[in-house]
Amino acid sequence: MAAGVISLLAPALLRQVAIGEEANRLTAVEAVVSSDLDRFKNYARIWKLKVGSYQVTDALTMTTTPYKLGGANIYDPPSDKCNEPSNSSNGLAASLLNDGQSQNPKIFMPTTQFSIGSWVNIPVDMGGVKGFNVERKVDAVGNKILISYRLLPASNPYRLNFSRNALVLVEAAAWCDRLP
Amino acid sequence: MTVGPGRFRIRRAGSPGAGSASEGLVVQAVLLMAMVTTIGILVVAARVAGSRQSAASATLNNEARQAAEYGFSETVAEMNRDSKSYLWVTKFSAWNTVTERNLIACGVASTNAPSSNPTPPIPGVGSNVAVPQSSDLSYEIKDYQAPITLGTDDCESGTFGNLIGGTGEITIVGTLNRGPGSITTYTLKRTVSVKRAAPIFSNPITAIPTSRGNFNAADSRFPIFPTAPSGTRYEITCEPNSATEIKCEEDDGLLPDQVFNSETGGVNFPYKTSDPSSGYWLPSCEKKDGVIRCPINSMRLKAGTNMMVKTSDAPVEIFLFDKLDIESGSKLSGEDWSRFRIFGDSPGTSCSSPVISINSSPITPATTPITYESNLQNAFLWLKTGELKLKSRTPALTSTPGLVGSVCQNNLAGDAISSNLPNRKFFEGLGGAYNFQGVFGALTPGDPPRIRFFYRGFGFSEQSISAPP
Repeated sequence: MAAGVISLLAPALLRQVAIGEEANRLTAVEAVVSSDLDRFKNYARIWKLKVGSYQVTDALTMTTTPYKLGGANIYDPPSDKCNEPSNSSNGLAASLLNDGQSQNPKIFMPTTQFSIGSWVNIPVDMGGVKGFNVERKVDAVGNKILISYRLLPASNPYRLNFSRNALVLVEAAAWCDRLP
Repeated sequence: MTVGPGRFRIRRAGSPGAGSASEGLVVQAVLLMAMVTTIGILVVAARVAGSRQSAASATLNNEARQAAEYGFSETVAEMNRDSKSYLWVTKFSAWNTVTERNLIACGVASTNAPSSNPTPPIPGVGSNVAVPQSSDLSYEIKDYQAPITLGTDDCESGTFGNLIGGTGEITIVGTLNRGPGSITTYTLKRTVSVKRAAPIFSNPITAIPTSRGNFNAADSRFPIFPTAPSGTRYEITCEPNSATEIKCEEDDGLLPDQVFNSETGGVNFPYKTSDPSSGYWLPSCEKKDGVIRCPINSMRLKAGTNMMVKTSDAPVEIFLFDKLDIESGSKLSGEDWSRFRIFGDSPGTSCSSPVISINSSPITPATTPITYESNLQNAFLWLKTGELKLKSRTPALTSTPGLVGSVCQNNLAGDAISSNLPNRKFFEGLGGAYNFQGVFGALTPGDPPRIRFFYRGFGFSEQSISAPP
């Protein structure tokens, strides 16, 4: 009788286990995306920071004068980039991304290389889940960084489908004399 | 044993149809195992299903939150644009109705006059805005609390909040809509710091020229040049005393010599000791309206002299009448440039006095990578008339916080380079010196202010968040 019960419930059990694994994979994807996105957000906070409360170096802030530790944040954005149109692909965001790419080591930017406007792979390896990639594309729009993530069903063995769009502000923009 | 629908019965031992006692135990054991197995399976299944539901729910929630955050970034970026920055200090209820006349009356700048028509000034007010490339995600701006005023100085009958700036609060709802019955929303409420940005003059409304050479001290749009203290105008010469000290003397022997520390801390100009309450080395320095003002006829910093001006206790202003010589390898700097100001004050219209000579030889502090410091730094400089001489181009004033406000353009030394520091800094200096409102306010009551400000929002902190089921 017990065998009968088990044989009746086994398919459902296996299906639930499979669903559980899918949940784990989704959670891992969320975690990878969140971690990757945080690096962009952090760099957007310190780029062109002239005075601030973060323990960072000139090599990271990329300011024209030495970075000083202080209570209130003061940024020094390049005024020519400030004056770019709000939808420019050559504005503050592009400048930040270019500086970020030249960081070595990449403390505040994703270690995965990126080129503006192109999809690149980010390996998923978290909580025992691995073996496939999430794709990320970075675009510069004025003083905003548009970051898109996707996981197409055809690109992974588990047929997972995921997409996420995030917009990160360049903090230094608030110190621009003019913002068209 | 018979098994009926939905229940079973175990006959008593000894009754007809009953088996042996051992058979009963086996049956009970089998039943117990089956129950335990079934319950275990159900528990595992429920946990797995719950995990799946939880992960799916978290993903939906994350997507709605991402839509709200997307909207937040988009909204802040839009409000920071010159044409819309007036929204930072405009009450949400007036966003659709504020007019150019309101802005002028309250000294708020906008490169595009807001329409008086009741139309949303930026996307997301009163309607959902789709997140690009995500057909099921959108956001809507639900509310904005402009920085508050604690007094009764509301300008234009409650149209604006605090015109100095402060803290604003934005409420945005992100929505994930996957059809009827599958709508997830996320409410994001964040406070944002709001500050005044670079000002523009309203007469006419144009940006200030970027070239310092275009500033004309006689321009009526500038504030009135400050009045110098009336006391003795000393002549000072300073030279290195040790690796960390300098010694200054009054050329005519009117004062005892004074030793100052070269860096912040200890005894710094203009104080006699490390205790500011001990008074000033120059007796004619006076503290008025919270600012220390010192009349000086001439000051010479001999080669290698590093003079630090203490501004942490109160802003310091030097009124210079004849000349300031900063010789090779010397440095004159304030602790905070917006609190150390040099006013060149000479009568008449000649451009020959006072003269500030800077023998620009690079000073290389122990920094990695090596950087150069200017011989004059952290100083706001405004010469009503006068001449600025730079002996070399390197390092130019452009690479330092040293600031030239207004000097006679025609008499610049050949190698002098116009400061390309942003106007913002120039006016921050003026603002620190005089308080913008006091200087640039209306000339006569009832007139609009002569200067108008852009605003910027920056930084944020999560006020409260919610994700209704």
